[in-house]
Amino acid sequence: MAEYLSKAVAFAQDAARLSLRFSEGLVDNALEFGLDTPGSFYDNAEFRLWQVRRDLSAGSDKEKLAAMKRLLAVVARGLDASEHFADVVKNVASGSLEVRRLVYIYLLRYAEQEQDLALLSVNTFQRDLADSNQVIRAMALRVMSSIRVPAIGPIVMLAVRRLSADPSPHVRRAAALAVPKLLRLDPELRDELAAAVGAMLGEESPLAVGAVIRAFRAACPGEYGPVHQHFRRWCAILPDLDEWGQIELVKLLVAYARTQFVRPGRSAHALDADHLLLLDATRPLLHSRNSAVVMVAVSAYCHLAPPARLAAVAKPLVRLVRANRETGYVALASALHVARRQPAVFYPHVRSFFAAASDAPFARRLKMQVLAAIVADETAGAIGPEIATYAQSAQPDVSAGAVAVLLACAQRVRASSIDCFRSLLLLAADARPSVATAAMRAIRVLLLDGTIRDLHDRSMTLYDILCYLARTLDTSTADGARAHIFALVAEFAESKFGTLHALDVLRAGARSFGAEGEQAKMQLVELSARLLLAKHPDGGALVGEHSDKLAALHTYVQTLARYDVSFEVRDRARALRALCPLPGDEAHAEEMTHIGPLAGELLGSASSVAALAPTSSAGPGYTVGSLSLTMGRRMAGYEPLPDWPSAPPEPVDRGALPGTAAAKLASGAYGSQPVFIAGISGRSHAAGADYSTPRSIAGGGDDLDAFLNSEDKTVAWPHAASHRSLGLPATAVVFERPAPGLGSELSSSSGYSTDSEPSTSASEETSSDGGADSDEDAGGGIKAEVDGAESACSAPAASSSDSSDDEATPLVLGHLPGGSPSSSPAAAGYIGLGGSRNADSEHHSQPLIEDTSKYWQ
Amino acid sequence: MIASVPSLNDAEPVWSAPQEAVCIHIQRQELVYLAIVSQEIPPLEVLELLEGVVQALTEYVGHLSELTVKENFTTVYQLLSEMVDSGIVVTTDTAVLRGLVPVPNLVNRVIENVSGIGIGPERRPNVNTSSTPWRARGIRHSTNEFFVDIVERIDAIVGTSGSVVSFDVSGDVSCKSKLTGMPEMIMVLNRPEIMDDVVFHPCVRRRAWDSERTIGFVPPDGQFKLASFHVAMEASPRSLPLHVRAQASRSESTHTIEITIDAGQCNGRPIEKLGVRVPLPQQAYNIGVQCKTGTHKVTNARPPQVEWTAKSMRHGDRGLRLSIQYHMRGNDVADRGLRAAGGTPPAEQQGVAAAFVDFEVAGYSASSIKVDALRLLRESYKPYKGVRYVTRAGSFQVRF
Repeated sequence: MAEYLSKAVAFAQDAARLSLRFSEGLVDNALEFGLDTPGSFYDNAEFRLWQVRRDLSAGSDKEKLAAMKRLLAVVARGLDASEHFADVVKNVASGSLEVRRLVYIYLLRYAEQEQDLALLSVNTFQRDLADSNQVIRAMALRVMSSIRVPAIGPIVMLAVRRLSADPSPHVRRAAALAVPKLLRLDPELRDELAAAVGAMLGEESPLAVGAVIRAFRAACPGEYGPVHQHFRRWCAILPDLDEWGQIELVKLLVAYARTQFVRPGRSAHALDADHLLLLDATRPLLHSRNSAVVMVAVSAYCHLAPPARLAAVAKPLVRLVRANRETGYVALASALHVARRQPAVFYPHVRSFFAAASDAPFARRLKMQVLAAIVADETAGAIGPEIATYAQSAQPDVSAGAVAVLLACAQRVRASSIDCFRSLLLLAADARPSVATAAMRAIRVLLLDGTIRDLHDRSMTLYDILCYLARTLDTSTADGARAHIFALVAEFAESKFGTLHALDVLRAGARSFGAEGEQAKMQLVELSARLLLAKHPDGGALVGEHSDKLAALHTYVQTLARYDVSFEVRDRARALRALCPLPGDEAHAEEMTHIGPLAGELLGSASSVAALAPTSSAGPGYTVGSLSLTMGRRMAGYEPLPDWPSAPPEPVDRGALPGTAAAKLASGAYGSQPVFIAGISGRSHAAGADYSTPRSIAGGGDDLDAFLNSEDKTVAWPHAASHRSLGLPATAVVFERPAPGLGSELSSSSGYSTDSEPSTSASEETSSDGGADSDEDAGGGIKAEVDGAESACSAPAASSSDSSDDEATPLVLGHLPGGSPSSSPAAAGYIGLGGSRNADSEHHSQPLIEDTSKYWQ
Repeated sequence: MIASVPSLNDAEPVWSAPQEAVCIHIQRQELVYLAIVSQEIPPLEVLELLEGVVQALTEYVGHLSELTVKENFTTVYQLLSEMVDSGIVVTTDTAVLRGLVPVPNLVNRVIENVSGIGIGPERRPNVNTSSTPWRARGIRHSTNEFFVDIVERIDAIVGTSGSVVSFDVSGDVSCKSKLTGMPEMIMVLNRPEIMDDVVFHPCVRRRAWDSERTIGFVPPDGQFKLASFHVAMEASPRSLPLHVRAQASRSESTHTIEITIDAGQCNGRPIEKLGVRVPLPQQAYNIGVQCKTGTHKVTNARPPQVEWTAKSMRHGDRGLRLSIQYHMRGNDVADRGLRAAGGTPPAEQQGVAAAFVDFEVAGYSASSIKVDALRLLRESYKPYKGVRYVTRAGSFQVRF
């Protein structure tokens, strides 16, 4: 009975205490949580900091928790809360796990500043290392190894060694994860750590293998000897690891393979069985749901697989490209890298790289670079119509991207060169400077690398093209485009185009010099220098009878450039002046006798190389999927993969393959889609070119002023230079006819065709009268030192041509007559959609489960 | 570190910051999650980590916003310290995290907040180190149920004339499992061969798929994504559920966009939640919309856009027609000037030149993939099994 009573009293006391705490808590919490707006605790954390010390020292768990939260909120907001370190450390052994976790976070934040106080906590951690709960053990080691106080290095080392033999894989993982941290804390421990890691390598649990590999790579970088005996076992367990472990293991094994096997040959050179084993073990990872795992597997294939098996990476990469926009961006960068080296891999997936309207600008840019990399005979049929759409796009970056694809198409798909070139000529007249410049650059590349010259297409001779381009100077306003034209004229001055035409271009350019952009000015200076230096094959000056005019023009242009506002232009003029001096520059006459003969070649080669250098070079071979590859520059800490050994290494024992994991030879063959070659034929046209040499320049040879402002008719520009005679269609459609291979099914509905409307737009561009001879000094008021050319020289550029009555037809893709697009739109554009699909009703067996749509809300 | 940003659409996800640093960021709902990297690390690892952080936080905190993150910032801190250890990703698996950091339970939290004391002893943390880390032992449910959800997405680009430029069908097999004990499931599909590129949850035994084309797995508890697949091009359906055509034309000063929509077959299922979104150029004004059915909304933000929605549509219904007219601000003068200069018309449609179509067809699988059988092994009870199919528009755009 007495016992019963005392129990009752104790119960009553407990109840009273409980009710007291209950009411206290109620008030407290109402203050903290109830009355404030959500999130204001975080925002106002520092207001009650004075209370923290008391709570941490003497409060209940609940109060300690609130105090820790308050402190962490202060830390999170970037304020200094280190003064409470001593109070916090006292709670490192708190009974509440949540309080302890928060204490750990705070501890790690300030331990480096308060080293002595931090040491107070070590005892508690050491006690926790022997806790019965695996999570507590692992957590103690994790926190202890993260405390950046060098003095505790040996203690942690001891703990790592002890816990690396723990029965729980969770704890062993924590032990392995502590290794890189310890190494950073105290590099002296490297040898000891390497020994400890060596003992861990036999790890069996899939949970811990990844961390062990990580530790191994940190403690023994570049060391592959210990890998031998585990190689086959690791290949076998690779699919069972967690995702982050798979990444670590593949990285190690790829680097290992690059040192141990020979480079896979293009031929059916037999691979080492272990090399194959690794490739086969990596293959399932291509289907991981984790994009980082997929990428590391793709990287393994790119750097290890023979070219014939590389097709395996195409689908995974395309899948990543289709994933969300962030993953897609990284995947596109890697896909571009692969496409530039092995374009054939992506031939069946061309359509996945078509730019969608919802793509971000960076995704569009990369997609079009991929398209440019993979355009070939096999893919031109699919890419062509798509590029025609891009070329008409309202977005300048899309059109400029289309130019790059057209350029690649012209270079690689010979059958389409002429059509691509025509489209480029049309795009060069685009109103948007970036597009016009890109197109003109592409034209220059095509003319210089011989793609167009070698075609021997009677329809479009170099002479016609250059005349046409020179004409566009009247209308073109894009600085870059004009610069390319001037450069082209200089480059082909010695061809059939003729120096007289070149001279006239220089004359027109000199007149508008003041209004030109920086690029064009530089090219004009260069043009005049090159014309001056150009030598006829028989030794005389190329310009012949007009050499005096050329000399005067050169002096004039040089003088303008010398006083130009742009530093670049002045610099270029100065350099060129040293190569071909003006009449007054006698100082270096002696040197010139040596340089003179070479100067012309020097100039010519330099500018051609500059034009032809690809803007998007393949770049150095960074590892696929690396940050360096995405950023296009070498990041700190980037380690290139080791190069293949030149001689086959000695065979080593790579351990036994456990159990069932038999190395299957997965076939790398890829069921490639039937591809077709676009039947693109050159357009027939009439308009024979007039090859007559230009008439001699009218006007007195000694009057440069008159010459500069002379009628543009002084040189007889042949009609061949007109729009129509180049066979330019009114619409910028690259491939105006559906390819024959597409079959009737497609042509009835695809609609990739133009209205074959007669090109009324191609006006007969007779010589347009360039800018009025205004005497206003618009060129910046330079007093040119040219006799008689004081002010009239710098008349405004001849840009507003009134004779161009082009309809400027909007570039429209029309329907194919007779086509009924609604008949089967889905079928359009697909290749090899043969065979009828099974009807939905065709079931192999009766479904065992009912359709419960209604059950779901 | 985390801030609300309205849109980061044009910023590259891997972005070079000053001082050799690289910012890798994702945007989910209104929050941007940013990782700053100064050393070589594969960017996809960082993106996967950020994605994992988002998933874990969603599970612990619920809807993520600046406010909820502030309210639960200690949970966020605890999770982050378990997920990343000095720059090394430890785990992103929420099943593992649940064992390490207790999920704040709503009921507990309310009681704690009101009374000031926690009820019941603190649960000791534990992790599952078995060979099935995704499924703990001793799971019990009073009713045993297993639901399968096959959601297919159609990504398509439709050209100006109604022709299909590109067309992809991909799908997810999502499951919701409430099963007692350690069951093993086997799922048999009717046409596994058309699944071209399959991605499985780690619980699926890849070998069984490679040899027998069946999906064998020990399911995790709760909701999970069993597989995602892409349908081989040869097996793609020959027609879209929806035939859309868009045409842009222009008279003197009025721009017109005409969109026509016809319903396809879809096994006789109605097409629901039909929606068309047309972003218009920045300078568009005086926007008028004509349509006989459905409701439309004009958002006059910069850039403006037209949204049109209809409830449902069946094959054989009269085609829908949507016509949008607008004028362009201050373009005509500049236009004429450029024409005189012989240039092509200027950039008319700055921004997007396509309409985005949205729809959903319940009970219809575009790829015709069906679950033939779903067997349960190793447990004696008979669970309730359900399957549902739905086909949606993914990125479905119509150029004009």
